Amino acid sequence: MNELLIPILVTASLTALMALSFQLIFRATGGIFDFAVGQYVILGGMGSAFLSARFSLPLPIVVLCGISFAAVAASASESLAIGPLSRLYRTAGAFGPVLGTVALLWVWEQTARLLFGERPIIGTPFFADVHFRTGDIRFSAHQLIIIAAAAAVLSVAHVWLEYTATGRLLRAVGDNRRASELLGLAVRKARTLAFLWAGVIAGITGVLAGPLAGLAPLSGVTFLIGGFVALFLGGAGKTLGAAVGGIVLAAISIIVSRYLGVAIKDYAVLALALLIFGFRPQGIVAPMKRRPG
Amino acid sequence: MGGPLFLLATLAYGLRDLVTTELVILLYVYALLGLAIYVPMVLTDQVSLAYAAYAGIGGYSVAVLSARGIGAFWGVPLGMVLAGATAFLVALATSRLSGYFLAVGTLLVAIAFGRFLLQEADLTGGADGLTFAREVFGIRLSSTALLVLGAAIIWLIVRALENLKRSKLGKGLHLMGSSRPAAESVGLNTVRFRILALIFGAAVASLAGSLLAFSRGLVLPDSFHLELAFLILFIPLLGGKQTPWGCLLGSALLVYVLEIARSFGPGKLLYGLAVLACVLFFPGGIAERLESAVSAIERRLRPEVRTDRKALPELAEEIESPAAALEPGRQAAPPLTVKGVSKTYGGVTALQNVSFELAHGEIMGIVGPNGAGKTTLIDVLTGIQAGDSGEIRLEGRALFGSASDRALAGLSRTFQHPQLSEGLSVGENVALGLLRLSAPRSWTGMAIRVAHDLFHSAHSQVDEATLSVARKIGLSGLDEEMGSTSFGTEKLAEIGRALVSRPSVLLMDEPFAGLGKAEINRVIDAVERWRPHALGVIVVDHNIDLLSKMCDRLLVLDSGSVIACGPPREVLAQPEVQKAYFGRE
Repeated sequence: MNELLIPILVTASLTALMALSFQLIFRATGGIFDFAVGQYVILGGMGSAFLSARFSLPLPIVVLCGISFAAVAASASESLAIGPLSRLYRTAGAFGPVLGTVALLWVWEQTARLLFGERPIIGTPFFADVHFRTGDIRFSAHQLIIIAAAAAVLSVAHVWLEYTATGRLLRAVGDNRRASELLGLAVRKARTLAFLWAGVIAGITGVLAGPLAGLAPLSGVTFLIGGFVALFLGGAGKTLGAAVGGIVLAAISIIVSRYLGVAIKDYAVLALALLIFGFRPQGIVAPMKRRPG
Repeated sequence: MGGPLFLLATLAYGLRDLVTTELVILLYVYALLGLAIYVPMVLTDQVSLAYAAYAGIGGYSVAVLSARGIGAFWGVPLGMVLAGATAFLVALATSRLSGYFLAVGTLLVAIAFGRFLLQEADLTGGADGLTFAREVFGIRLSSTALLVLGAAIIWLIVRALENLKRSKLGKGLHLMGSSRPAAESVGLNTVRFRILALIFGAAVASLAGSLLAFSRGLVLPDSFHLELAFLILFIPLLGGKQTPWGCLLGSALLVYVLEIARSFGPGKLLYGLAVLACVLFFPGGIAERLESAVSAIERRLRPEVRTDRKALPELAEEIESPAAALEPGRQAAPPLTVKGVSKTYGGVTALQNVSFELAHGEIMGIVGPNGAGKTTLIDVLTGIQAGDSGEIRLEGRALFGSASDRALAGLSRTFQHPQLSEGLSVGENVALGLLRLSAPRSWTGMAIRVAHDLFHSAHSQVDEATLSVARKIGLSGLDEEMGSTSFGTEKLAEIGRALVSRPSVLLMDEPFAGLGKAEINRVIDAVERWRPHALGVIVVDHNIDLLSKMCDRLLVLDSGSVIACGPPREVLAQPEVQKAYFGRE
């Protein structure tokens, strides 16, 4: 079991970041789940790996570029598609927004395919040669950085969302768009901000995940599912729900794939998701006041 | 007319040579997948991403059963049952949540299925797939035979869907597309019909997969890849909502796109952008835009088409004798009894021990300041929310369950914002209320009703009951399309829809909001005329003057409690009412 600790924490970190990215958009839009979030990860991860492989640019520049790809894609999604869609359809869970976000997933997947190719690309890790060892646990500096980065991002987001004026603005806008508009709150600004940060977080996830295993255009779907399920495992109402959900989901999937096989893991995630959706959609850890939808 | 002709044209093209046969069979597979998506997407607004997997289940069932010597044919029904069962499980888990959950659930199904195909290589042949003999009961299936079979299946399914669309149930499903609460109010169990739509879609998708497998004698994991799930999802969108024939057009566009994409890199990206543009700019699909453009031109060429409409019945023609409507035994128990109903949200008390009784032929007004609990009371009565405690009885029988169960029991309602189906005529909208009398209650009943309506073509005529109700409430212009009528007509049409099934109780939520004086009088008149029919009426509104005039009794709510109930004059004179409602001491 010990040797699984680091892989679990690494996967949990990436999943929690995804869940956070989802949650930001979900909160600011009052219930929209941007299915393209996994694709922002791919644009960030594949983009940085592509630049690093093709032009051998220094790592910091490559990382910044990757994150900005994701942020630009997320902002473009909001201003060109999701923003207009939520003005067109009053309820976030309506057919139009759902189909629209699925179409966005497709659009960004194809964009990644055109820009960076169809084959998986493996990114350059931070401090490639540095490894540590304690007892029988071996891990790399890159894995450590993933865990530290996720912890930092989640803490900042928690403070930002729960305790600052901007966080409150975001929640108000998400709760009731019309009322916020009438109150003179900066709805557009809040949403733009949420998408920008969701994109940045997805970009960070991509840059961190890229060196672990190759990222291909369609692997965004894996991130999408991990983030979504973790968010509802933890509870979509609180920022830390993302972290808790990420850890639980990562522990389940890694332990199951280690002892029962990778195929069983996919079935287990499906069964787990259906159980949560069917019986506790408000989450296990931090219940929301209202049902999602 | 365009649809069958287009089908014939594709068939003729497919018969040209072997290459075109293969291409057109592929087109039919996509069209079937489009039809599989059409039902849940267009009728019930659900986005599922498992259709490629369901097609895979159909394809692999055929191949596996053939390889095991059981016979390829039996794979067709087996696949449909397996796919349907999978769809049922996912739908059941996500049916009460927003659409994103179904999308994620089905995405997980697609991924798990892909993993299954690769992992269980003993059964599925892994990445190499399975080859099998294209034989059914010892007879070899030629490509030409499959082509004709495909065309026949498409024709059959489209005809069946058109039958369903014309049937009363189909119109109810149409209403469900524009408003689920309204569909519930005429007794449709929307949750179950949404699930049924998904099961139907999965079965048709499986059939499409079987056809694909037979046409190649080979199944491969790549044929049912996730990317296909995304591509086909948009077929109904490209083809339009108006008619299932659009799916054939949509898949022709898709086949064309896939051909371009092979030689021109951004083809699929442009396809995605086109879909996005569709969602944003033509929510009804491209074909619908084309259709409305064509009909606009037609109207311009023939401006006098509309003169010879069916003559409208005279308004004052006939008033049924009141006694005729009083069924024996109906007067035994009061229409509605509410006893000690309470409801709290967290720490907030929305309703506290609310009790009242409604008499036959009585009109009761419910008033109260904002936040008094009027909306909660409506929700608890109609079953949108469950009360914490208390008892509601309709004609002596306990009233419980979902909104549709309560509608079936005899509680009809209207909405503050009229919830009608814009695509249907005024008369058709009113006639939807009749569904309440015949709406199936059990799973089997629903399945049988759907199956019946799929294979019987209904004649679309406004029936006698609807005409009679329309006459009585002074609703004219039954042939006009709902979308083009006035707000007052909408309100009246909703009242008509509620009354046509002869409910025990009619509940009206803010019937006067947004109406002018003349229209208000029409509404009051319409309700007045039903009084002799032993109908109990509850009117919830802000307009206390109007309520005092039309109601026999007023019930005043404040902070969730009944503070007064009685004849309007007495109630309004009470000091607590004055204080709560007018802020006077």
